[in-house]
Amino acid sequence: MIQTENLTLHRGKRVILQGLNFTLRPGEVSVLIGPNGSGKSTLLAALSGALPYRGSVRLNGAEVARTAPGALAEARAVMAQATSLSFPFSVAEVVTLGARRPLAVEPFLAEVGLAGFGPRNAMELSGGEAQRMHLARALIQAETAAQAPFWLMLDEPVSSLDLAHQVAVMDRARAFARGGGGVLMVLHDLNLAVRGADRLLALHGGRLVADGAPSSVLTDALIAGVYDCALPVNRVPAASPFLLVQSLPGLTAPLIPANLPAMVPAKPSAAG
Amino acid sequence: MRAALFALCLGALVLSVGVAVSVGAVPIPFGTVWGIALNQLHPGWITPDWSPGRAAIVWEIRFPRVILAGLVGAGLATVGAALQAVTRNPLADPHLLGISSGGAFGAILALMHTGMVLGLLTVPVFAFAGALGATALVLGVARAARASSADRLVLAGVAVSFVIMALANVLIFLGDPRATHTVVFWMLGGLGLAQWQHLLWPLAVLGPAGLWIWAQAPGLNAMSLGDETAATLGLNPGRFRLAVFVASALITGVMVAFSGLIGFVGLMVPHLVRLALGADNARVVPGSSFAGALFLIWADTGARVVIAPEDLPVGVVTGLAGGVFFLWLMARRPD
Repeated sequence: MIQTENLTLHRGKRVILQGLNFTLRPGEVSVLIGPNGSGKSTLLAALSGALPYRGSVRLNGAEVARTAPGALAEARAVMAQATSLSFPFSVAEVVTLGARRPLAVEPFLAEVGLAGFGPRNAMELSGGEAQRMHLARALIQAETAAQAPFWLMLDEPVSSLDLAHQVAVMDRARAFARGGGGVLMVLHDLNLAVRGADRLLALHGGRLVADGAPSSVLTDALIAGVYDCALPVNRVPAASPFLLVQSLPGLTAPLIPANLPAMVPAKPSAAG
Repeated sequence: MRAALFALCLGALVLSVGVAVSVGAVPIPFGTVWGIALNQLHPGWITPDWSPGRAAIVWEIRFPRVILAGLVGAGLATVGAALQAVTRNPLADPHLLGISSGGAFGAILALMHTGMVLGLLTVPVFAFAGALGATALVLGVARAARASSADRLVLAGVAVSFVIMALANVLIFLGDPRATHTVVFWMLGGLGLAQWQHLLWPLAVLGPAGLWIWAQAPGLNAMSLGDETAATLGLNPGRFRLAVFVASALITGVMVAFSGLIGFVGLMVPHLVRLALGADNARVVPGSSFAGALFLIWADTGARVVIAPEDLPVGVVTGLAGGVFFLWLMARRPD
């Protein structure tokens, strides 16, 4: 369980997060949405213990600000928007960094479609491959950590991925939640968010403006009010939970078919 | 695999020590070198067939010098590898963080102004005190500026370094012009003053501090993903960086105190080791220790024979040989 009470965060004099109160439950995929600068990444950083905050954040009952980094690492893994490497580590070495105890990395590489990539220079991966490598690092941390429920905190984990890998990552997150873990991720792609989330939390100007099931959160009013964008939300088909924010005037067909089967790439792609 | 590599390094080290001791203005056969050493460690095992003069050259002059070269090379390269990892800066080296300027300041003070008040240990003691003083200053500045990030720590080190070097130049300016010659030679680095009883100090610092750095390989690896990610892996990046910095300052301080400012080793040896062994610090740090020791032993041997019987300052050899070798390597591997 992650519980926040009046969570507030300032940077200098700027208020980034204002009095947030919510509870996240394990077993669910919770997705943070909101426009640029709304505080999504800051919120994720505060929940993970990377930033000092006011108010309270409890991760599995323990106040995050008063928990040692080592203990936090047993309870949550974090994937930042971008992680740069300064030395030519191999892919396997980077993934190993996540392991809390020795464990073979190959299954985790295979899981993200990077089977056989272990000996490769991690600095020479494409953006999408690097993103999946860091996901594997988070997954091995989850597998080897001591605490349950374990939380995956993923900041735009699919931003560099092609369509198939985006879907695969969302499905992996869902499977992780179904296995009893907690998932919190930041997404910009609302279609993907609706498809993969059990719950959407919408941030705007550092405030939580909507919180609930995707179908109830994602409305024309929210798109207009939060994103300042006059695009209607289409439900395609009417009875499906799948929604589409019309991305171009006149385009009404879904970009992703609602009944897309779960896809785990069988072979590593050459260019991510 | 790792044990085999370790044994190989150790073998190469022992072999290099033997060759380095046997080479010099007076060449001494390899077997005689080890005979003299064995005879010193366990008198009576071997009947000496060498002159007492040769025994003195080998045991009193060359062995301490070669071992000091090994210790200094190992220390500087270990520190270079560790600092490059915690600052995420491939250009970080032991002389970066003000430690060496502090050492130079102390040495200049001793060489030009105080006289040899502590005997032969005057310069090392002053240099070590200067190095630690500079370290404390850098840490103080970093703390006052609440700078635990890599960039701020490096900037604090560079700024403090400039201030101390300016003050050191004031000392040179105010001192006896004839003594500047000694200062210049000290700054170029040299191992000629090595004596058995002085080896204790570098060893006493490098042993524990070096082994501690070896043991930090997982943390050093995590740091190369950046502070933010290192923290999510269970590390306190600011505190870890400071701890590595203090251990590095101790090692660098004592090495500078006994050998002056020897460049290249701390900067380039870790890069060469990474080219050979990859980036994992579980290999890079111990590998740098061994490679640094070997490199400086051979560089000092070169310094002794190039214009024998004169000694070339070893800093000249490391800079020339190392720099040219590295350029050649870069030309061969354009990545």
